[in-house]
Amino acid sequence: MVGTSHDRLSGTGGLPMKTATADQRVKPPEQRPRRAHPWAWFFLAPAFLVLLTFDYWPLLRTFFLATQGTDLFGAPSGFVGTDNFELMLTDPRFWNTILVTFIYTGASVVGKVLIGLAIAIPLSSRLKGTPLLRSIVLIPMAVSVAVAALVFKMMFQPGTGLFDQISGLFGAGPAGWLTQPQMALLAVVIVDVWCGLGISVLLLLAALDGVPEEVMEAAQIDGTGTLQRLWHVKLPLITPTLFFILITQSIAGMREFTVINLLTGGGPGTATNTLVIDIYKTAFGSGTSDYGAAAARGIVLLLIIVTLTFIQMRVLERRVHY
Amino acid sequence: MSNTTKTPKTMGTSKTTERSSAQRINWRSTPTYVYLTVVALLVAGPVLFAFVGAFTPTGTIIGGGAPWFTAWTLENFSTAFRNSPLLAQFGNSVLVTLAQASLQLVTSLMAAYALVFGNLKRPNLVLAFFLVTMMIPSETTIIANYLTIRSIGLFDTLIAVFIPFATSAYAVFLFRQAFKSFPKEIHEAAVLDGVGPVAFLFRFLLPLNKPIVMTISLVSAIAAWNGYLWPLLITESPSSRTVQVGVAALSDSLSVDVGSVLAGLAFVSLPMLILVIFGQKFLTKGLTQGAVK
Repeated sequence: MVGTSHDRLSGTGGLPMKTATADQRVKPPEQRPRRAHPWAWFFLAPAFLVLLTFDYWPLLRTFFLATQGTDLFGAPSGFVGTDNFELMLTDPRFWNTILVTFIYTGASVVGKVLIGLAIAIPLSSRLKGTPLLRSIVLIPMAVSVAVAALVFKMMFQPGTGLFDQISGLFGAGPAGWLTQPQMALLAVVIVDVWCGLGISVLLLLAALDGVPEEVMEAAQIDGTGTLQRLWHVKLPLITPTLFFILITQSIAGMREFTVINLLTGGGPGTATNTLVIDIYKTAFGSGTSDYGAAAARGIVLLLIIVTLTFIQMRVLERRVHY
Repeated sequence: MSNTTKTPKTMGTSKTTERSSAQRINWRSTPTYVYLTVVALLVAGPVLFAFVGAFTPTGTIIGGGAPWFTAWTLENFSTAFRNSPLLAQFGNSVLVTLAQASLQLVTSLMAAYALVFGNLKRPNLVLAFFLVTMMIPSETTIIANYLTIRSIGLFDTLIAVFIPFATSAYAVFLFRQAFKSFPKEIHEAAVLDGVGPVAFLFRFLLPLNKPIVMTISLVSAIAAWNGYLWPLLITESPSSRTVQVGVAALSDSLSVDVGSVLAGLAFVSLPMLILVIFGQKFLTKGLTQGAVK
């Protein structure tokens, strides 16, 4: 349960970057057996209790729920083994959901990284006045996803919204932002990219600023052009950060609910029906309430997130590049 | 926390900047400026749109879309407040945010302190207990948590909104990293002098780690204020909704009154905009450390 509290900002669906190396420290040198201070467990207790109640226990319960059938009234109808998984995996709608989830996540991660770079690179070139610009770019971090989604929804309104009005100036008709399947998917990606832009630019700026001046000067003396330096020197030097953004934002994208729920509710049809939206609808949607099927989908989400986190730890052990 | 990462801000005003920008007065960087200004406008666009629209008489928000600077009004705000319990929900959100952020702070401070100074036999195992939870997506456990909250009778209460987030493994981890650099000998000496663990935590560790405490409080508060899925699920009556869920309902009910919806949205986003502007230093520092080598 804890994951949600920070993921949008710091992308901590995954582990922070230093975990992998931080713990391989030397063992404490002392010879006598260690005995915990009596107060230590008392200090750990509140946090333990919360995590046990709202993370570990519900995780177990989710696995249990996934083996339970559901009757017409939404009440559990007893043990059904792997039925929920079999039904899910043979349902073409489920595979469509997975496809939509990956397209949505992939597109928004690519958007965040590319647009993030397009903003961070010129910003990091140490011009006068950039502190102000740097602050402005952080604005998306301050605006809640719900508010952002609702503002964009207004701008996406067919005909009267800002986007259709602007395209109208060029003689184009309404684009069907939230009503055409592909446009709707594009719309939710745009909003998600905007929401994640602040943190993406922030991290990229810190990385770009961290590239030592001497390295760039050396490259310049060697007679490389600006673009060459960018491509062959700067970008390789910030690959750890690029990778960090890639993974954490992938995790965030896989888990995004607010943007899609508020803009399209998963529609039109199933065009924006991602895994998380599907879990929510299956468990709490109007009419249906199938906790078993929803729990099975929840476990799929868990597997995806755990996989992404392990990739992150693996690659970090190898120290992406330097 | 004592990371070598330089914040963008300090770099932006470093000596090299002043020198180079004084040398070539900018003709070459004009395109960059133009480009960056356009980018800034695009990024800030939705927020500008909301704030300008919030003060524009609804009729003159052309076609319900683009707001223009024709006249100013506060009418939109009063309409929004009249048509929805947004003010009361604002109060709910303040309560939830304060409760969640302070609980996270206290529980994770205590846990991190025990991890570093508690002389635990297997501290890494205990740390793993925290870190593993960061891999569990709350969307997976949401059904089970919903059932738990219902069965203990907390459904549709404000407590239900923040209690699952009463601690944060991420905060525990960050505090632990910060505390680890504190000399163990000082702790031993203080304990020998009869300083109790609670006193040590509050009199030594907290004052010495103010920046990270600020950062974590800020991040916790923002996350608490911005919560959407869980509050949407676990509350039902308008009077126990948080402001994020409330403003979504407002936007549905007043969808033709664009100005009032934008007023509601501007109102809801104001506290965090202010907090982020003033806490920018702590945010940039805290969020980039750990991510940038």
